[in-house]
Amino acid sequence: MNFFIKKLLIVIPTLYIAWTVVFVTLNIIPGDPVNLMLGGRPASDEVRENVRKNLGLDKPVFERYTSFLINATKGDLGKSYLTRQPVTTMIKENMMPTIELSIGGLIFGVFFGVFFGIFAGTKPNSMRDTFSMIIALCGISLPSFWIGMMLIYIFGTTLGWVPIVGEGFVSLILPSITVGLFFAGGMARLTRSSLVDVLNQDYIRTARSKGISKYRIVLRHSLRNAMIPPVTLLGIQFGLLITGAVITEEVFARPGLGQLLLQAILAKDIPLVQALVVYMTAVYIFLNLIVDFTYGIIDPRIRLERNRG
Amino acid sequence: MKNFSIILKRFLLNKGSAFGGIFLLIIIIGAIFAPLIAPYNWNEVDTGPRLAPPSWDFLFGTDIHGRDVFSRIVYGARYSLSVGVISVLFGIIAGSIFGITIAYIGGRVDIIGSRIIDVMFGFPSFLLSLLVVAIIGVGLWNVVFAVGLASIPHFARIIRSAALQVKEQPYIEACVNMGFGKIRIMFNHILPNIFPIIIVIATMDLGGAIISIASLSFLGLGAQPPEPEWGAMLSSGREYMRYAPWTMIYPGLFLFLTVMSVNLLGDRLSIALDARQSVDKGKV
Amino acid sequence: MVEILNVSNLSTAFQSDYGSKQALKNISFKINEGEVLALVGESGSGKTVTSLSIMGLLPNNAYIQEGNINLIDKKNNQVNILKLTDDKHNLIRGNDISMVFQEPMTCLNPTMTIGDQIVEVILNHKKISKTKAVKEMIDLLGLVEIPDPTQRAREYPHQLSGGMRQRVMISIALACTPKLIIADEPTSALDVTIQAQLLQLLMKLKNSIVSKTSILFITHDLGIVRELADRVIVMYHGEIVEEGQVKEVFDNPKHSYTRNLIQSLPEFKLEERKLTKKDDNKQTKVDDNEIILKIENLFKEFPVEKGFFKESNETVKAVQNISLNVKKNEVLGLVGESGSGKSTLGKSIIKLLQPSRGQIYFNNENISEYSNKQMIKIRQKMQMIFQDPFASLNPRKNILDTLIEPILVHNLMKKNEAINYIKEIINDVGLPIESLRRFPHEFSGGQRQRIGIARALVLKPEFIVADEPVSALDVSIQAQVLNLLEKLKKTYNLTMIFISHDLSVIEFFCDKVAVMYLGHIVEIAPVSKLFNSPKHSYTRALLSAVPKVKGKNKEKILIKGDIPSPINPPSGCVFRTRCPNPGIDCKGGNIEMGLIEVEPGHWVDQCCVNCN
Repeated sequence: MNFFIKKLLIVIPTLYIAWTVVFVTLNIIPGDPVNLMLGGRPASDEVRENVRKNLGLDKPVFERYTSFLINATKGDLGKSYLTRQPVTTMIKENMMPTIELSIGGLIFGVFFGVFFGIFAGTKPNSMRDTFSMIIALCGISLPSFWIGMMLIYIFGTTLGWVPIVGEGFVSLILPSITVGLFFAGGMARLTRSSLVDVLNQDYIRTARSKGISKYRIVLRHSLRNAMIPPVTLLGIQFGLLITGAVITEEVFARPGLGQLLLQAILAKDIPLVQALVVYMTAVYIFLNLIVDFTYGIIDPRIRLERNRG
Repeated sequence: MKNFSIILKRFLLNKGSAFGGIFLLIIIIGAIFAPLIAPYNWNEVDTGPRLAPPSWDFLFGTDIHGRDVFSRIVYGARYSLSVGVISVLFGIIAGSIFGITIAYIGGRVDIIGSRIIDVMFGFPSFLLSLLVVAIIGVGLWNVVFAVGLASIPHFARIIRSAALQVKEQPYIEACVNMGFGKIRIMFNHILPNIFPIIIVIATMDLGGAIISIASLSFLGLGAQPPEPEWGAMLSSGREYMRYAPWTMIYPGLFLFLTVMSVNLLGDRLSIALDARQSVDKGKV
Repeated sequence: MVEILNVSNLSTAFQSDYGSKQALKNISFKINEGEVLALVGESGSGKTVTSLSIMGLLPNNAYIQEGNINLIDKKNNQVNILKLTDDKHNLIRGNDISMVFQEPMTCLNPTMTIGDQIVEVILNHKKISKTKAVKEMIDLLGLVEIPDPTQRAREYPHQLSGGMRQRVMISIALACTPKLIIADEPTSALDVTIQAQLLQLLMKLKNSIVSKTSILFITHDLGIVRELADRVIVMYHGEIVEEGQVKEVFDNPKHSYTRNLIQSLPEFKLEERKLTKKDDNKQTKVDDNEIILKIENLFKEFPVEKGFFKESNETVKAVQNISLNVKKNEVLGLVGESGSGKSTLGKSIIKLLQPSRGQIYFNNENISEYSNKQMIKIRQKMQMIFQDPFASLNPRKNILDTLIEPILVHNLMKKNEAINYIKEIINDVGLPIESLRRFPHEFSGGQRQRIGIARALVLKPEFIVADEPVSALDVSIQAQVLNLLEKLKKTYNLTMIFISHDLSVIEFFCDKVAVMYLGHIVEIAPVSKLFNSPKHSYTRALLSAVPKVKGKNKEKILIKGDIPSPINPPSGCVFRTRCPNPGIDCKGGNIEMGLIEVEPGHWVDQCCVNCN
């Protein structure tokens, strides 16, 4: 509990600084947003002034900044320059497909990553180790946009096994693989090296000196210890889901937050970019918080440390 | 049996690094001597029929404008490798200076420095690159800068912890005791000892940087047509995937193999580093 | 005599990138039922490889070339261990033969409670219910004298001290009452007073519960062999060079290596020196009038945790209110167990650590508040020799660079002059001139320590702090380095603070000794007084805890319990929680600590003077 409060105390300033950085950087973008609003049409000064007022751009920067922060915590992140819709509505509308895609990618990545990692790590330097690690190497070396297109080409266009567009579970398979492949490769490599490392520890030798079977040594003594680094990686890799979303949604022409972000950047729709970054950093930090808690479950050293202070 | 598996392992490992090294060498030579190797001008429209399939005349076929895909890939190697290296160099130099400095000075400086790294980690790095592009605008060099900038916290964090470890070593205490200055200790004693780690993480990151830059170009934020950057080529090849898959397959394949070669070398380097470290510690 | 284990013609080798290296060369020995057999040798002699060969736990790159290891198991069958499959071997490991390892900090699984780790071995070999196994586990913990076993069984290894963990390891080894326990340096990583407790426990168990169990005790410490073992085997470079009853081997060693090993022990060298009366020669040079270093009320405290939001109030009280003088050409020994603050004190004195409070006078100059810049001039005059010869040299610099850099930084000489000067020094520390072009990893531990010494000398210091300079070295190398230091001390006119946990090294090398416990000096006296008539209970316990090769084994003064944490030291007298005869005031923590002079030059903490 103590730990929870302490962690929250770190999360809040991190979010605050992150949001401030977003606001400051996005407000120094050259170019007048009013021109964007008008879409290049000529307009009188009066009209321009009206638009400016509407967007709240007539207020001093500091006032805009404080109202941004206050509104952000309330969940009100302003209106899009282009569609004039509240950005939160736009985010809500596009949220579900991205969540589905992220979960799909996560499941694919964690499952195959951990599987190949253990498969290789339990028998280092064997054929199966080499085989698994070549696959993992491919996983981290394949550009996701290319492999996405290749998957569409092979399984969609040529073989016709999977529909390229559409909804439902089946249409989620190829995008999930695309998102999860890099994830799986990194996970497999780290799980393997961490397992090999643990199997060389003194306490494994102690366990062997007790006459315990190899199977039990891996299951009871190694896995739990070996999973600590991969779980850490999991936290950092959540960021990859955002990368995945942007690229995969583009490749598969799926709607979602990634598409929204890309469009917003290309159109310099500042409130939308701002809102998406605020939203994504919050989710990312929150997910990492969950990972931090998971540690404690795995490693009693951390758990007890936390309870103490 | 035991001997056999050891030999097999070495063989495969060496084969791996040899593969990586040779392929990379080919790419580098290709990039340098592109005008000699490429059969056609990379930007000349209608060198052949549009969307022609691979043939002896056009090894990898032609694109929608009738340009030779092979020639474009050869010239594209110039972009992909150099932009990757430049962005990693930028990130690693900034990260090293920052990491070593906060680690060695310690105290408040370290706490605040680490906090800055943590906050920057609060942004997923791709999001950070996107944000930077949103601010400074679209373009290949902007993307290179954005990717390099986004990698600084990652580098700084690893280098800081490596420098912290070295700082605790008695030989650094000995330097303090000899009355050496801060700058001398940081860059003459700590830096050489973490240099191998720097090389390894830079190599390990190079593959990722190449992919990130290509991805941003693919999204239309980086290299702009008609530049033959591989990511940008894929972006335009995508529309004709159904009729002319070669415009998409070959640039991607080269991108993939280049990244894989770089990653292979990174792996090999880190294994060599481990061996080197155990020699330093007198274990061998 | 029933023979339970017979090792014959065993050869083991390691396969590495540079070809194969022989670790054991055709060794044969046997172990009888109920005996304690000691295996001694220096690092690289093959003692551990022998034990791992018996356990079938050799690392992947090692293999057995030939030989047999025959064991009489619990059912009285003879089995050749080397012919067993791994599954069959598992029936023997932990059951017929069990093992206690050297590193108590790392050899227990950090994510399992210690209770589970003991129950696991019981259930693995005995066909009994879980509840019964748990009961047996609690009994075992009681047997190895772990207080409050039911509570402790639920704890994780990191919550226990090193000594306690080693007790847990012993209980795991005992769990199935094996025929043979292999103990591989089980006490080497522990402090002497804790070591004494454990050795006593082992002997007690040996004489009661498991009287039929044999012990193969692997150690580098000849004192322990003398105290514990019935028979001894001496190993050198993978071969057995001598074997026999302990008394015979020690009194009348046949092999020159054994003789050399025994004679390089500081206790023997001390005796030698007494015989040749060199002792007087050593004392004369101390200049009573000139005090080089004077320390007044020095404190050093570290904050426990530096959070971003909250400064922790807890501190590690590493050095507490220490005052002392060091005279010119004197060697002051600082002795104490881990956590006593001896290294911190050493580093605070030369300001590698900034002391929290107190004054340091070096040549009558108060340097305690000097900044790093101001210290630069002073640092020339005060140098340090570090403990770990592997970590104290920059691996990326060759020896010449390491030695010449300080001279050039301080602008003491021109480069050419400096090179000649360094050649002299490298010669003085007994290394060939060619060494200068080499890198640290090309040298052995002893040679590296000589380089470390050379580095401390290049700036021509007056005063050197030597922090455990020989602890990482084998006995015979230790003797050489000590001899070298002794010689250099004279030629370079050095004053030294010599930090060590090894009492016999201190006795051999120092003029005056300060005994530290939990940040305090509890006793300080000239070396002969301290060793012949120690006044403080802690000093007495410390002295008696050291296993000796020579002389009769005196009755041990055991002190109970673990060393308290320096974060929360006991109030009043810090030793009161372990004191064998505390007074009433002392127990209540009402007595302030402070040294009083009991006879000229012999100071003892006042609490202990009152208690006795």
